Amino acid sequence: MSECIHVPMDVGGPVLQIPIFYKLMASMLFVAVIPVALLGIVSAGDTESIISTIGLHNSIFVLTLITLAIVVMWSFFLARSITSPIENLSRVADSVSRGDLRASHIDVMTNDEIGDLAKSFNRMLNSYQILDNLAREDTD
Amino acid sequence: MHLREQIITILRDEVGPAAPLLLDRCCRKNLGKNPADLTVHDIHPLSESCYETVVTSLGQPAAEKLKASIQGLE
Repeated sequence: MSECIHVPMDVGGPVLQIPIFYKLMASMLFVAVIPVALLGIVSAGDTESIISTIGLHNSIFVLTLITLAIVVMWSFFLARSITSPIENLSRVADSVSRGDLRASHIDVMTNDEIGDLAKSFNRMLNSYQILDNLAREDTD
Repeated sequence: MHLREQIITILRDEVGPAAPLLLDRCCRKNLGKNPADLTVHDIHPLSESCYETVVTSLGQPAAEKLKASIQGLE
């Protein structure tokens, strides 16, 4: 397990690299635990007065709504954090494949597998730009 | 490790497979030497040469980083 978590020493200091696999697993566990945690909070507190006021069915409905809201928000941010860098990478790869090297550098924002992919892609682009430049010098 | 290999390792980190060609170009064009004949005294002019070659393609931050990395071999 520990071999999957790398701690590269960069110029700015150590950076903890958490693979997407662990991020997803932790998120799913978190989502699964929310209803249990909410039920625990309700059962631990003095909620009899609330239940008697709004009714058992309404209490369950409110708990379900709260759970649903948390899960939807969490899923949205998780999905966005994974797909956004991939979309960025895809956009740059597309423009480079069409020969447009003007805005071809990808800012590496994540420290996971996608971040590694972006770094490798940047290196490949650098190589392409250098080779292109050297070829132009030869032509001149 | 030979100096040429050390410099290629540094260059490869930034420019990937273009590293040997870049080193070869910088050595022959600016130093008038074969990369295999590089000595420690060539590191500084070589770093400047690499900077000049790279800055037009990759921009100043990448060129500065590369220059500093090469000069670190001195």
